[in-house]
Amino acid sequence: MPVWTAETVIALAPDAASISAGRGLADAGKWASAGANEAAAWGEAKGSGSKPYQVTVDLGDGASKCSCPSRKFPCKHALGLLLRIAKGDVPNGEPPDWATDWVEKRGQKAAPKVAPAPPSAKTVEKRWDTVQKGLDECEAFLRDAVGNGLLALSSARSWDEMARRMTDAKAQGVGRRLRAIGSAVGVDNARAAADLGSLALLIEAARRGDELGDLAYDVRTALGVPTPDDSAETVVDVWDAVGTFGDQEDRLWTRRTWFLGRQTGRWALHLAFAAGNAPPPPLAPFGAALAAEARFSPSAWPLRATLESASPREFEPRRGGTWAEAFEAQANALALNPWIELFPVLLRDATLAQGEARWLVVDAEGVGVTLANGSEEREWLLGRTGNLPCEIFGEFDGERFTLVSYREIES
Amino acid sequence: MSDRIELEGFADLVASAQVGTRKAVPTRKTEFPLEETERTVLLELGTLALVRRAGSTGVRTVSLPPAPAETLRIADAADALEEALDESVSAALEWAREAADRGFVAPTSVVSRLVPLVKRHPEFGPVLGERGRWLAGVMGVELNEPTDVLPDKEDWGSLDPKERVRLVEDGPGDLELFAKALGDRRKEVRETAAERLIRMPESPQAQELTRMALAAVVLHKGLLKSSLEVSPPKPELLPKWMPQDYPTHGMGGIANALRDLLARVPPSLWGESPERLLDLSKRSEYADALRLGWERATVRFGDVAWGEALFLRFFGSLSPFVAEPIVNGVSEAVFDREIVARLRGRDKAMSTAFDMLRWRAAPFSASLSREIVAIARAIGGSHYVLESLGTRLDLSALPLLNDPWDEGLAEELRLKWRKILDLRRRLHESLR
Repeated sequence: MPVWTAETVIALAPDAASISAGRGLADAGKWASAGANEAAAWGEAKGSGSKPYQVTVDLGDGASKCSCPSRKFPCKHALGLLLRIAKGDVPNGEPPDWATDWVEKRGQKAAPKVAPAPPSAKTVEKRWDTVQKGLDECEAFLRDAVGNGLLALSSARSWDEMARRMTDAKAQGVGRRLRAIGSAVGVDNARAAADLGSLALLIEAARRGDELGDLAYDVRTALGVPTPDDSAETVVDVWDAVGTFGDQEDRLWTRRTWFLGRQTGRWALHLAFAAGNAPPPPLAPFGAALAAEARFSPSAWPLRATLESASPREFEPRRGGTWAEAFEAQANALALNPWIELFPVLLRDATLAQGEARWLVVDAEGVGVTLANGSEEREWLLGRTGNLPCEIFGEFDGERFTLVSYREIES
Repeated sequence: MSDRIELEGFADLVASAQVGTRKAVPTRKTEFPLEETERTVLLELGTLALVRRAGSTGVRTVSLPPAPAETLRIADAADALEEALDESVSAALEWAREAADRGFVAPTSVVSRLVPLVKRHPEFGPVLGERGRWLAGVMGVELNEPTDVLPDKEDWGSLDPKERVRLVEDGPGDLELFAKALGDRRKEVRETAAERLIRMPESPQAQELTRMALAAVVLHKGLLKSSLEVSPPKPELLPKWMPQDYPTHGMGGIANALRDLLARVPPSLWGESPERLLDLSKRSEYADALRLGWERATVRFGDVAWGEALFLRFFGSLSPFVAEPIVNGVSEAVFDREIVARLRGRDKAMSTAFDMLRWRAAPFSASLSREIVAIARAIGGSHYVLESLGTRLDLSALPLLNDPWDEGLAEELRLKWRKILDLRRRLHESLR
């Protein structure tokens, strides 16, 4: 069973109100019954109605089912039950029929959802033609931007307009990059120019798909074009979930869950998408681990993966490294795939340092990189760690590090 | 297109892209191909950006010194405190007071939420612990913790006004120093000194006011009938050092002077029961000034007997200036008895009783809490004050909230009360 802590449970909550309501239910007195086994927990939460709500939670991935009318997912009852699990006050027992039914319907216990079928080759090629036309238009726009000068085109509206056209041309990835450039122009011109060049390289590469080998998959991914489901690499390992992060763009939520292979040291990124008010739940919460086959999407530097035939394990991730090691790993990855946007970094014995106008994440060797998180998250971390060295995981974009999770290591 | 920009590195490329290749022609040792200028700049930008990223390096730096180790016990209240901070700061404050008394500090997971609240809620200060004080320093939050060391009175001339006020307010009784402070150039220092001197019966200032008050209000005790003879002082005869309150609307200068004088002498001065004096004062043309002065004196000198007399006599019609402190100064027995009588009466006085309950800061007794719950259930939870009382109901009332009440407001109130009482119970248990 993964290690469920209050923090891993809270990471599942769709909003602050649910956290609060869930905490209110993390008390045995609020439950008519509750039990758990290795795979699932179940319980009957007393509500204001005559019948208690029946809730079942899959302890492998935190998925849940509840008979309450809430449209939030997971609901407060599922969170409350998981918080009780985290406190260790749910007794072991045999599941009732309604819990067994749900667990069985989910198929194999703790099995992750099967990825949707990829589009057919014909659909992919048709879409590719549309994309190519859009890229022609985009390249002309970029040349004009450089020809006339970025300063003359500092209105974000022009960039947004072109981004919309790229979305119409089925190249959402290009649209997203254009919006990012538009918001950087006039604020961080070096960044805007660098991203502009990176996008130009991407368009250039898209025209040379036949010459690129596995990198062609990365180009398509960077453009936002689905790739054919070609033969993918499979790696069997115990995958520790070292961090999960929900991000919203254009009304679409993306849930990134980062896994680190315990034996292989490989990174695997699981992506889930959802429209609505909250990110989809992670495949596994931070602090969980799955023994699984990671099926990597084709890439020159395979990273995105689905985890199959998974079964839970204790969370015992590899120790992190130093910034020097992370820089080297990033350089090696970029040599294979120049369009990697976020690089996973796990640092050991990390602390924070205060620079002149920025905060830095510092490794055991005294090397620091700018921390991207705002004051609230920074103070949250400092309050918990007291700046004593801890294991920190985050996403590095080449300049700034965004904290995703931390872990205190007992010396 | 006369301007030219010579490219040597990434910064020049960025500058070229910013200005525009059509305005300033980029050159190197070899000319850019004219038809490919923009493309070349774009691709070079992309290539150099990639090279720069692949060559990422950090900076050498020194970490922030870590927080000192905790010296007190850390309460096991992380979840409950988070919930309280989300939903009921008063429950968190109640916990903080109890935790401070018992020598506990807050769990480290909530200190980053508590630190910004300290300015508004000083109760959180003592439970921040070493971690919280360290974090406050990092966050630049001034905690204004009381320091044991008072300024030295020998340095009076060089102290700033805040320090002078603190020395007078918190320092030991020092007639000489306070007399000196009465002549200070800052009003806040003079007024603080006057307040200290008024409360020191041996001070010439207190004795002066006592003489004036006894001359202004003379009690004639008779065998059959007593009376009050009221001769207010002329305003200009009041001591110059004596602060004056804002005039009461509808009262003249002389009545206000009487009010201010009586407000600064102990109400027990006349050696008569408050009930008797209040009765006698009703016949005076200065009845309002007498009552207002005594009310204020009651609060100023914390006179419990007078407080209870005023509470009983003027229940519901105490002047706003003093109502809350008087309600809070009344003993639990008197408060409970009067409130319960009015709640049970379920007449107009019930609404006043609710106000009194709202003002009362202390937690309610177990018996009063049961009474409040019973009334709330009986009246259908319809009074607006009721919900706020959940933070002060005694935890022993929790079992009364287990079974459903009627639908509607009453049931809604029951669920809210149950939630807050349960939260307070969990917070309380974290300090065992």
